[in-house]
Amino acid sequence: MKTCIRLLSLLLFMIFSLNSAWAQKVSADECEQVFFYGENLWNKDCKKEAALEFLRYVFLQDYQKGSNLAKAYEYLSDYYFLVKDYDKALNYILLKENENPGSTGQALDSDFIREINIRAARAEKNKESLRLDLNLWTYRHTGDYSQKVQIAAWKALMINEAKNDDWNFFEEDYLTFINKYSHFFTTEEKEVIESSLEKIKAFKAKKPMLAAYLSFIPGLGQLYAGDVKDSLNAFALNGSLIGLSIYSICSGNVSDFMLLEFSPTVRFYRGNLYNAQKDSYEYNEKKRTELREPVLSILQAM
Amino acid sequence: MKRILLLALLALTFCRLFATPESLSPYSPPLVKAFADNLYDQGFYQEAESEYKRYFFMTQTFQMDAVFKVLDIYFMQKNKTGLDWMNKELFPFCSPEVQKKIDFVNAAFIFKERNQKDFSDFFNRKKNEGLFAEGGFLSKEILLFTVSQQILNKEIKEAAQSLLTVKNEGEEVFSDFKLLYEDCQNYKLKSPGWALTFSAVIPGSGKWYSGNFWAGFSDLLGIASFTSAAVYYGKENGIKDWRVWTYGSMAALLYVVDLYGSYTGAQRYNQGNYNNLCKKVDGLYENLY
Repeated sequence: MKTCIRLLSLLLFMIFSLNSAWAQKVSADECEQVFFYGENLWNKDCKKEAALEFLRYVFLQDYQKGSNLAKAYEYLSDYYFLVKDYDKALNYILLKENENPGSTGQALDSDFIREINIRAARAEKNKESLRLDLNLWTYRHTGDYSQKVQIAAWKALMINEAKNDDWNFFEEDYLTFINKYSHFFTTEEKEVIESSLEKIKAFKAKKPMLAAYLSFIPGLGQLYAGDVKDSLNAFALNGSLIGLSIYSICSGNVSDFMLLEFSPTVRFYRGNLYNAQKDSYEYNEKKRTELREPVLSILQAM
Repeated sequence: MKRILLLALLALTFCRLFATPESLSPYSPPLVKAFADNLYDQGFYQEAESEYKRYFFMTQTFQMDAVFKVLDIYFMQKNKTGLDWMNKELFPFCSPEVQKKIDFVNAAFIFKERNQKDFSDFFNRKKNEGLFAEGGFLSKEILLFTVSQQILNKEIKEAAQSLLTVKNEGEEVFSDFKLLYEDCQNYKLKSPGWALTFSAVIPGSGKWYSGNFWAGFSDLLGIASFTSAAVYYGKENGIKDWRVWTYGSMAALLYVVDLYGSYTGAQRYNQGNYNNLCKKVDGLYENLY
């Protein structure tokens, strides 16, 4: 009997000891204080320190469930977006979306739009196409999302295609978009986009190899690439060197030609060929930026 | 007696039953440490470092695992400022095992800076403290420090000799040292003086000596062409011909440039070889850490 009582007491003692250890947790107020402190730091522009406090708040969820977890994820997503760590930003916004399943449509839309912006920024940083992004396709084509979200997804895709010069895909998507949302662009904006598309299609890029071949006549390749100043420089310099070399050979001064004129002539002539190619690349890039600019300014104002 | 004990146990049990659990502050030491560990595991190293520092200052204790993690962070990030702080604030309060680890990282950082004097001071200091005896550093760490000092003093043959004992033992754990031994054995210097002399006698040969065949050949061709043209026009038209002076000056200029190029080429060759050897030793510090 006594042994039984002893054993029972010992058992009870062990159970309640463990319970009291488990029962140690952070008080709800103190947990929320961490969040508010982080928010205060954020508002005072101490974003790095604020992010640390939000990370601490997320960590404390193991000890005490807080009521601002979704907001903390949002701040963390914004912080990592600012510091251009798009993978972490995307991770936190997806956590926020999972945390907020019961929110009103308004809150969810802003989360989806944030997510779309993060995906677009990441694609731009990595020079990827958004066309293959399954999430964006879902936002554009399924009816589960509001018009705001769908438009944001279309906008991100079209800007991505314009920046990557994927104009065939851009045209296809633009036509699909205006069929669906015909009143979204004003008549003037549609005219600007359509005329820009025509100009882009009509634009014939300068061929670097052709510029190089034309430069066998010094300066002609640069003229083809549209750089008159470079063309005159190349013509004058190479022309005088070649002229001097021909004069030396014709007057029998082969040694003068071999020792003094041959090496500089070859070097400057080679430079003339490379320069013509470089000028044509620069011309193409400049022209593409000019043609792209009206379309991008309309899309970015969407 | 037994009854008293039994009653005391029952009383204690009932007290614990009604005791209210204590709540932790988010900034209490156990939570700060747990948060720091969590940040470290997730790869937020800078944030983890600042939380560990907060923990150290709060508790004034230096738990081994926390110190090791901060040391890990400084080693990964090559953070010399952090290590200096650690030497100043934590080192005196750490256990001997932790101090040896910090010393190892100190040695790695000093070697990375190729600071011969500082490494020598460090080496002698640790030797005087008895850390090179039994119970101090591990034998492979002592070997690495010895070889590092010899390499910094440019005593490559002596370093190879120090490593030779390792090679003969054939222990698997020292396989990295065997590769370093072979590099030390094959380490050859080119004398800038000899490169200069060779180029003075045969233009371009100094660059061949330093392993740059085509540069030497083109120098030789250039100097020979200009010299022979100067001589030819000198004989044909006399010394007052402008070509003699032009070609002669260009030959002389190329000759001087070749001499300078041969001398610096040999120096660059030696420096390149030395840098490769030092990089291998840096790799050894990474592996052994």
